[in-house]
Amino acid sequence: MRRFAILVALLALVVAACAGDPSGTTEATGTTVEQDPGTEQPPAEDDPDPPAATGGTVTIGLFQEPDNLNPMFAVQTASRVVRDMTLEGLLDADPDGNYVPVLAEEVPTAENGGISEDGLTITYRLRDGVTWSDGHPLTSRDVQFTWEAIMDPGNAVTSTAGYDKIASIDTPDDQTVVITFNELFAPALSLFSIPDAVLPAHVLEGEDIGSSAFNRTPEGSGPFVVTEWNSGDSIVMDRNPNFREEGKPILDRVVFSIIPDQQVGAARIRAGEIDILWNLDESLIPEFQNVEGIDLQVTPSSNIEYLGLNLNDRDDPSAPDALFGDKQVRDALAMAIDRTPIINDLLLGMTEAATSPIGLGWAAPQGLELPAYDPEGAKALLEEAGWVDSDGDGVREKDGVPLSMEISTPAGQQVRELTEQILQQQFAEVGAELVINNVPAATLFGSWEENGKLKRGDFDIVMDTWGADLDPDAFLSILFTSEMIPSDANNGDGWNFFGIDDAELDAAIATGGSTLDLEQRKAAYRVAVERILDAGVYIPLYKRSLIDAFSSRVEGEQPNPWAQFTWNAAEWSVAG
Amino acid sequence: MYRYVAKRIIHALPLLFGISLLAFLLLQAVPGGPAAAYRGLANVSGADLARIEAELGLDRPLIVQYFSWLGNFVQGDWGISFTARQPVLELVMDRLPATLILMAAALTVSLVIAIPLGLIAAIRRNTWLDHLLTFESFVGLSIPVFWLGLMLIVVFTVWLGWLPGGGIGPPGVDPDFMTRIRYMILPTTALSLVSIGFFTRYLRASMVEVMHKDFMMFAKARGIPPWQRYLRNGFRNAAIPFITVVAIHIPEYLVGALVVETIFSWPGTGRLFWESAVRFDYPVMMGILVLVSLLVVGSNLLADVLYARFDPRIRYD
Repeated sequence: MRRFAILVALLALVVAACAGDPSGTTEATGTTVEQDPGTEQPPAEDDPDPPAATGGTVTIGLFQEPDNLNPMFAVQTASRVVRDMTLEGLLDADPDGNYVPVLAEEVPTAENGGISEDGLTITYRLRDGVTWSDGHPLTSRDVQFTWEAIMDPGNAVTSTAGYDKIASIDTPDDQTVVITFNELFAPALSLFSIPDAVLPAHVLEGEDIGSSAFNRTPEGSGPFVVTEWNSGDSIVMDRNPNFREEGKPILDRVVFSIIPDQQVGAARIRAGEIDILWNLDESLIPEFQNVEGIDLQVTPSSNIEYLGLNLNDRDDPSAPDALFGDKQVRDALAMAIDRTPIINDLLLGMTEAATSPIGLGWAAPQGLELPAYDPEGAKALLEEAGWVDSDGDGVREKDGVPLSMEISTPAGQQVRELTEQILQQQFAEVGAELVINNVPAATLFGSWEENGKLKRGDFDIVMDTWGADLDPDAFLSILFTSEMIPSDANNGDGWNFFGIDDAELDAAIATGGSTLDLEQRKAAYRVAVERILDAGVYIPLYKRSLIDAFSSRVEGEQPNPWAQFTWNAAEWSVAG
Repeated sequence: MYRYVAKRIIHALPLLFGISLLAFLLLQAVPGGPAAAYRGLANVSGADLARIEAELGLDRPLIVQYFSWLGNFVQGDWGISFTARQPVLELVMDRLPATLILMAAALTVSLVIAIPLGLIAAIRRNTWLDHLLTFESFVGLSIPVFWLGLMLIVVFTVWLGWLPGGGIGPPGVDPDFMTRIRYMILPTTALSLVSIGFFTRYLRASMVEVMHKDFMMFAKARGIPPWQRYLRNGFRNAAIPFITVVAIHIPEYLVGALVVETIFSWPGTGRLFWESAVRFDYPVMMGILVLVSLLVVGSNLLADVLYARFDPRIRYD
């Protein structure tokens, strides 16, 4: 027995050794920033312009751990939620979708001389007195270095789009950045800004960026700075003592608690363990409606839930589809859809119908009308096109081909599955059969080599969400230009799985991308959107909303469709 | 003895090599691949994908990739995580303590509960008590861990509100000892349950066998009181095979930890493995797989060494 005790004692030792510091959590004071040499914040009463209440901690539940916080590499949305509080771009977008200066003094335009006449040179003047969280001044060299780092082949960055069109970046002085492009790049103002950021040269220069500690605990210029990343558990951010705005941020600390899923998050916010729950699923809305102490912040987003129709035959992509090759069929189906039950019953009225693939921002065309819900009109149109139910089974046929089609969406999403059932009934009313065939997301969105269903055109109708960035150039080009139809010829590049091949549409998108003049671009994109809608291959259903739950002790949150909800965290405060 | 241990360790090397090679090839055979994380992003083109693969060295022949990985690994460079962009060794070592604590706690709890139960069941065998314990062991063995974990959360966190349902401590603050214990109770319970049933059954069988041995009769004849007899003469002999079983069983906790850590958002290597698998982060998966293989080989060696240590009849030199 005594000998056996050795084993137990050994184990106890292991426990004791590990219990010392299991999660890497440090003292509760949390001032463990290396770049913060003991700068304790002055107490609130010393603040020259004290807001309602200073200090305090807000805890945010994230059900996705960010992959890393470096915009060069990160692909997860959670990464932006966190890093937007610490890394900043030259510009940002306000809730109305207009560019606003952040690190830049003002937004470059042709009028203020920031954009050259040929559109190939953009000059930014940096704001004075901006420093990194370690106190080092932020200069034009940082912008130049960011470009060099992105283009360095050793760094394996996610995308070089746009940056590869830059010929040179000159830094005549510490506050001036002159960017010269090889060719005109219409979304030029989004570079170094959204969703990217300016990176600190003095930290990363000479460092192996691909494995740098910066990727988890970046030095930033924003209101907060990451002080601890407890892998798998939490990310702690404290106020940046060197933040340029006096009295900001108001909070002392923001903690991201990594939770396994939304259900657990819902339980924790009601128990008061967390204050904010990120990106709620629509199906969770009822759990929070009229709950004392919790407010839902509903932000309309540029993401549109839509139906995508495959114009080509599933087996032979070079031939038109027997059903959707016929424009009258596409038009009839668009008329057979009633969005009211989807929006009011499934989404509890928390959103609105979408009328365009570009739903928000300066490029969104105003005043577009969708075909009205008109089942009788749909029936008449189908009759006219020769689709008749001759055998009385409720499904129309033409030349022996039944009007039966498949709908696919990533499996396991409740709201979408219910939407499909509603569509199934509405289609049945006009004599069309809708067969639901949902597949795992990886199967649907897989690559060309993996025989992804969309890439290979192996679907009839897909229900999906996609949204344009503030600059819609990339979105429109990748989804709707003819050269982006995945094929052997282009190695399956692009996402024009509709198979829409329209010279006028191509031209409109090209025009929109060939100038920096916003009015000209707006006009071109309006033409593009009208061509897409008229073709009937893209049927917009509704605008996806971003729903975040806030405990009512948190004040100052403000929805911004172009950013994550943490975009104005510097303004947040807590009551009590 | 040391010679034996050294010999065993040398023998384990080709085994570890084989395991790592097999694991490497199997991981590569999974469709998707690390670049899959970037697919479907509007701003990532096919050319970007090819560039990323080339820059990460994924376009080289598999065998070249393997030996380059192995060469670095033995020098302590476990590679760079594709997604976290951090050294794998750091990522894994960050998470290892949490898993070791959970394993140690579960092992301790299982032994503390299973040993008395196994002894009682053996001594009172074929009574109602034995039948009850046998039944309970089988219930424990049959319950799936993921289901049990969820039920524990539903009952103790959601309904009763007694215990936290996940995490290693309240976020952002340094928890005191009692708080740590509170966070450990549910995951430890979920992880121990299967082993409790298994250990109880095994110890009972081992003890029943020993109880029939001549030396037990002799002890009885010498007038040694029953409980002293059971513990000093009986359990000490029954414990020898039992220790081996416990040692070999240790890696099972890692498997269990994969599920338990995911359910209880415990920041250990099991969950790291799961997350890496979802994100096709091969370097991290390889690091954890090799660590697990080491643990399996090590546990087996430990079993043999303990065997010799506790059983005077066994000598390895």
